[in-house]
Amino acid sequence: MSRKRVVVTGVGAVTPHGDNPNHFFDALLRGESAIGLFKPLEAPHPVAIPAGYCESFNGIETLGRSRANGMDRFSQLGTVAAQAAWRDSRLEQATVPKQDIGVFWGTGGGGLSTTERSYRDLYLRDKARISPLSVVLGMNNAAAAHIAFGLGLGGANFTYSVACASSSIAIGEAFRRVRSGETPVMVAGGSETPLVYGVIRAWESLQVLALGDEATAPQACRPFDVTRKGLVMSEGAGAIVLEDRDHAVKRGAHIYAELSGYGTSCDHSHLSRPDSAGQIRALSAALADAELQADEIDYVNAHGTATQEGDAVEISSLSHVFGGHSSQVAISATKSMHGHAMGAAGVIEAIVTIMTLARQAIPPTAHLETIAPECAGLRHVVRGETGAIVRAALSNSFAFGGSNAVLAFREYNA
Amino acid sequence: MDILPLIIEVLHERYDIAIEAVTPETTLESLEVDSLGLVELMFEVEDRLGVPAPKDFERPVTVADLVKIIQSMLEVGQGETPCLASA
Repeated sequence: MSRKRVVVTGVGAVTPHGDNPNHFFDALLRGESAIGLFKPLEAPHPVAIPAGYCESFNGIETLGRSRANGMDRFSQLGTVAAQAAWRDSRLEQATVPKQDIGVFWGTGGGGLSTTERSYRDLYLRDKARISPLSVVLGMNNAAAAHIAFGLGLGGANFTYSVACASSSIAIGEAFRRVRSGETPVMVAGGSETPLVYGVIRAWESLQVLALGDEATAPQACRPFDVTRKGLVMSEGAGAIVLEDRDHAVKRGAHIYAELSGYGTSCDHSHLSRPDSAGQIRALSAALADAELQADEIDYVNAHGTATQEGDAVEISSLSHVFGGHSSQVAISATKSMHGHAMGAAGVIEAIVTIMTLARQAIPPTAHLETIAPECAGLRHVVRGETGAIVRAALSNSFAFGGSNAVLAFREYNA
Repeated sequence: MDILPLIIEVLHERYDIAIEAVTPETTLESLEVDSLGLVELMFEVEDRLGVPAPKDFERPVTVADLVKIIQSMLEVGQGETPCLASA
């Protein structure tokens, strides 16, 4: 079977910057941080961390009380993002066999709010029983299931849980389904809502969170900077519609960009310490899969979490892959503004990469004032650039567990 | 105690069901309250009334059937939680 070209014909997102992908991208171009000081509800001991919270999202208002009550927050965000991507694709008006369209989704923690609430009822409130919906709200594949119900999509429905690479892998695997000709359309993405007390405490114990107060929280995430202190947790969701190029052209769809390659690898060395050799293999695999040369890449949306070791290892890997072309490759870590949405980070940053290609504009790494020596070598973008020339771009996701996923996108040319 | 208003209130708050849409003759099926929803509803009623649901009861078809079950809960004031959900 010959390979199909795969294009992006719909995008949808729920982010700390709001739920309009264009407005989200505009805010990033302006270098605007949506990170603030976050205090989880019902915390037995007070805690406040810089975090990206989707403050304007209201599940009951958006989905209706009955529907929202049957979903964990990660399903609510995911459903809204997927519905938006679907609407954006205008596939509802097309004569497309919905029984063949699948949903591949990514989440690291699934229904964390449900788990937290259940444990609180059992252990703190001394209840002998919890909600009968606890299992179906909390399960990791609940969001994907709700998306399929809502859109009437009867194809394969899989959820990938690969920590911070979850939604990149969901996109990559969906890409393969469309490229192979198994289905003309897939909905892919992910959602994560980790801002609950127990999860915050767990990340705090890892000693990798950037700290801050009301005044400093918006600038707390400083990837590649000499002053970087760690990552900032966030919640969010994103979805994209992947479509066979010929199918999309035939129905006159708006095409944002082409997804042309996907590379994966495992460091096979440590649960949390990243390894350059593994990342290089994923990067090289994505380039080879896309049939792109290193010097054709104009932009990289970095994994860039702002941890001491992670940022340095990523730059080392990219420098190895790009060689003499490194200094010409624009790079930014937009987590500096929207935070690290864990399992949803991959799709949110894929959307940023897609918008970069569609609008030929590059968002910056916010708060990057002094590039750390170990992070130098690529062209760090510190202010949003419009009128840029971006032919092809990579989006990196490097997860705990050593799982690496790299997506390679191209500017769409017929 | 008048049970019907309590049921209507729970259905409205939980499922956004219009108050005027619920009468004693209304079937739970027409309100899209499935077996899991019924368990949820009974848990909510248990919490509000402070009495446990009976261990075994015939699955109610209408809201009136549900009223009878809850009335029996109040009369007996004891029992165990139901288990109606199927995996």
